[in-house]
Amino acid sequence: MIQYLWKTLSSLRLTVWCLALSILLVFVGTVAQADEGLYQAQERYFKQWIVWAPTLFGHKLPLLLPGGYLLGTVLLVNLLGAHTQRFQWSAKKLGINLTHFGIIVLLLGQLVTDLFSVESYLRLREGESKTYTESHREHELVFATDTTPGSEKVVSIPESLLTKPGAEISHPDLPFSLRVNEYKINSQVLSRTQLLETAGRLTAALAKVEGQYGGAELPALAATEAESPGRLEVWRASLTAVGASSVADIAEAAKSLASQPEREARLRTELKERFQKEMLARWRQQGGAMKLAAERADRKEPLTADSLQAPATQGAGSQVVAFPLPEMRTMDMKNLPHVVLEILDAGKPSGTWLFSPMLEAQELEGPHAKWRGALRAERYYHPFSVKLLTTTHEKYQGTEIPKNFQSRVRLEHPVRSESREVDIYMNNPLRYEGLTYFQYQMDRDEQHGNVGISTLQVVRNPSWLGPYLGCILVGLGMTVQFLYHLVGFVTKRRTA
Amino acid sequence: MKLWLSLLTVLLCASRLPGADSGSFDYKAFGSLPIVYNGRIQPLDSLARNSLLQLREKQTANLEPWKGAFEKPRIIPATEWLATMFTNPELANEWPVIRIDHPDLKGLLGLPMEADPQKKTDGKNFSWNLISPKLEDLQREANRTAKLEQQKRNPFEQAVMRLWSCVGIYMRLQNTLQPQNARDWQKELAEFTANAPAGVAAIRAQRAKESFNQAAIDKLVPDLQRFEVMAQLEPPLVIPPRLNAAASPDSPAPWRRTVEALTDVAQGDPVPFALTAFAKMSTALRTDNPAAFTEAINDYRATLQEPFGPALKKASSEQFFNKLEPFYKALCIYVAALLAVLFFWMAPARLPWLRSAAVWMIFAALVIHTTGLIFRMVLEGRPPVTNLYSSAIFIGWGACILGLVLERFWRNGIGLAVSSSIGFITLIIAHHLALSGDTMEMMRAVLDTNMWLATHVVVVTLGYSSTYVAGFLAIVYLIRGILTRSLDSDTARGLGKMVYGIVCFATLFSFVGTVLGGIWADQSWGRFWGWDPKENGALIIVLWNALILHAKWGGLVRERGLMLLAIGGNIVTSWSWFGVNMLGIGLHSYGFMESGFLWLMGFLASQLLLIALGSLPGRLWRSASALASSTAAHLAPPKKAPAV
Repeated sequence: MIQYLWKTLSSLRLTVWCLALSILLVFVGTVAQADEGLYQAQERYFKQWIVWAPTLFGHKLPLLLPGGYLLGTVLLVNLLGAHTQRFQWSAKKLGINLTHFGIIVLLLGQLVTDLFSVESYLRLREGESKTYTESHREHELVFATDTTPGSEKVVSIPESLLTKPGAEISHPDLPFSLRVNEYKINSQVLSRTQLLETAGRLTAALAKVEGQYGGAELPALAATEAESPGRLEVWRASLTAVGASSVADIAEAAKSLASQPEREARLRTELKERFQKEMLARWRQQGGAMKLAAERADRKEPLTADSLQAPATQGAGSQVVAFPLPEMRTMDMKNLPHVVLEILDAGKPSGTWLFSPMLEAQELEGPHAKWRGALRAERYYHPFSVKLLTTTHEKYQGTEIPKNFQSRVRLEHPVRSESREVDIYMNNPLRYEGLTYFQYQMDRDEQHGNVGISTLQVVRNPSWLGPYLGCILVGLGMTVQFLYHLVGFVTKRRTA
Repeated sequence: MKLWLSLLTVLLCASRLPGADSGSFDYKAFGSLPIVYNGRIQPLDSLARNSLLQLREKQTANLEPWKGAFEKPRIIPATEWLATMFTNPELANEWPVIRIDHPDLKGLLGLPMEADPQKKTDGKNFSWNLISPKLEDLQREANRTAKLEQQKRNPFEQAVMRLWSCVGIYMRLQNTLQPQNARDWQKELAEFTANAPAGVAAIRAQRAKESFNQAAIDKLVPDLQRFEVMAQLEPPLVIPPRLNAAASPDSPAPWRRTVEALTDVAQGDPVPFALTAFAKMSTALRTDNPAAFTEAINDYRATLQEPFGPALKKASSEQFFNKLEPFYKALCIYVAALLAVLFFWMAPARLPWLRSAAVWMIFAALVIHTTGLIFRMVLEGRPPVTNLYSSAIFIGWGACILGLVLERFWRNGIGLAVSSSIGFITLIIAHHLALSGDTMEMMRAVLDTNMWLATHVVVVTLGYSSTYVAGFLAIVYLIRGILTRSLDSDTARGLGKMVYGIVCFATLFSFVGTVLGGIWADQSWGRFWGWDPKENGALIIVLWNALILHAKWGGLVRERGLMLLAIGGNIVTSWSWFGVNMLGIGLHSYGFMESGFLWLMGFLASQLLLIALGSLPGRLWRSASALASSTAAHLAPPKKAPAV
């Protein structure tokens, strides 16, 4: 029995099965990215032992697939088994042995990368300096208090503990405990006053349109509005809707309708509705408070002071409104979660608080006034600082095609009394203290002092040399094997 | 016999069909002038050809497309058309150079569906004058479509967007050298230069709320208004950098658009010599004065020679390359060679010279193909593969060499068939990819590294080449085995060896290429493997090739199974090459194509059909008896079906 199992595990048949299933898995996992998002598909198909009900071109299939981890492990066992059983130290097998050893290095290297590599980012404005990098996806709830001047005690609670409403959290360093009331993975937090003010402006603007087309002489209005192509378009559509025969000259068409009060009234309604619809569409495009106000107005549920409930009783949470948004599934869009917490004093509730990365740190009130709380991207602290000196963003002449992104930074490592300047640009990362800094994005804040902003991708990957080694081994192994066959073949043909 | 046959074919393919009629103006010299467009220095000739390719999918302008090929329609070279677009828009607007195929779009624009000599159209190519009355309708449709995601657009909407971008190209060209409504630009430019100082001074005084000369402003305003239009269209950069500008090798002084130079003149700059030179050419063209035209070009070239010698030289070389059309010529020869091989197979014993002729033809095509490849590399200063277009050319090139090597050993025409068919198909693909415009576009910052383009991209593309060669060898095996009696056991065994050898080769290249890609990714964003669709596509090719090898070593497949798996390699490689681009996700999705999708699906279906045919029982093959004559084992199905 053991003999049989051992034979199966080291057989070529198993290799072929593994390869075939890998091809299937990679194909399905790639196509699924279009439906499930790049990151989510990776987690569900490749970093997984078993995949249930994969998606193919938008359809869920009732299938069970082995995941990436399972296939990788079986391949590894198969490879090791085959070599312990059939290993030969001969020139004929040298190439194959090298190749397979290289594959083992690659597979193990990927495993180590998966287990131990940490990705974060560093976003800096020109002149800014940071000693930490931040997580792309994970957030942490932190409470901090000053101990001695210049230093603080920080308690950090990972986002994963905040996701269940009703959960209670306590920490020996915190003089209070917490209860989660509400958690949303992605949301938008807007100032309540600003929202009401924006809604007021929208109501006024809509009323103005109402008045404009309700009262004025239409032919005269048409004559002035014919100048603007956008408005002309709306006029023509409205005129067509009330059955005007010719809409080429809108002033003329409006004049011919003036004698028929009933149709003119319909035209006025059409114009009002169409222009209001256009206005709402424009507001929606602006995003933020304007988008929200427009959406509510469109549903005939305008924003009012009564309809906007503050999510918390204390702090900034009492001044804002939080709206849940759908979860972001693409690589470059971030989720901004919010959490509403009850602060418990010896088990007794003392008000609710809202925390979100969109809000600044909040001073707690009452007995815990010396504590500050914030929900922010998870931070990784390093013993050195990186300061952004200048950013360079070049484009090819007369085009928008980016030619070069480059950040010049200053590294300061007090312990090693090191201080030097480095250029980081595409295909030229900085490797320092086990971390690698890559040029990732570049931006410019034109509203606040025209300052360049650079985002660096920061990766800690202890096995980054693995692929290099693996590639050399496999390349060498295959070349040896291939040449061995080729030379044999050519000499055989020559002598034949 | 064989040598003269191949020579004749090469000559026939190399010489172009009836030369375009270029009249008495020296448009060739005009086409050699350097400009900057798409971020690179190129001759006006390239701008002209690429614009026409985008507008009407040809590199020449046919002014009488309703006439048949034998009725001698008037066909003019791209540069003559461009010069007319630049300087005489009213005339150019009568020429049917904008291609529209979608019937609904023709309907929307009120265009004739059939050829109509009265309206100067063949029902497919239309003039600006026919389209422009309905431009507003087109714009409305384009604005609506622009809001839709690319994948969600239907064929009509795709046609609208294509035409809308053609409209942009068209208007841009007409505002490149001079304002679109200029009549005698030399004179108008002189007037503007004379009026500018007083006019600008008056405008400044007006802004500063001082007393100002209204008449001076009135003289300048019409010019400023039409320059505003020019600026919005962002036309090509035709004015070379200022001579006195401080330039360093790192940041060369920028080229300017005509409108930018005019604005600088208004601000008090001296008139750049290029502006005057182009104005002279313009007026010479409009007043039908070939001598003055040539003189203006020669003067301009002479002035450019000293400070911009390299740009001038690069533009001339690219013009030469455009005229050479090496890939088109190689394509024609590949077709001829393929036909020769097919005829040779009909009677190998009686027509052995046909095989030798085909060898010579493919050799000649390869020389032309290689010349083109190297010429492109030198022009771009880059390794051979930089985009989808050049990958097609390189895959064909690699496959052609592999096929010739195989032929060297087996001498049975099979290597030649593979060389010529892959060469032909890839160059056709390249030809269609070129329709989207400039094929030598600049590399985005991430891709701007010759080291990785030279290693990862070249190696992985050779992996594609060799996988296709194995697949096409297998196709030859199946077609000859199933449909003809010509597949004897020797040929079959030879094909088996070829496929096995090539699959080894393909495994090596696709593996090393893929891992090099991972290392590049690790160098540029710190992730060796990101499960990006293009990476996964390459990984699937590696896994597939490894599967073939292991299945063979494990005795899971024999000769026929090997062939069927090798055809599967065609599917896998095509999906990786084009299919993943159509998914439209990930960092590599740079080449989304619409019409290519149907062709890809067609090819994949044909390969599946071949695999199905190949799975028919051996006794149904027409070559069954020829194969059975030796060892029957070759065709015996494997004990168990292979693992896919």
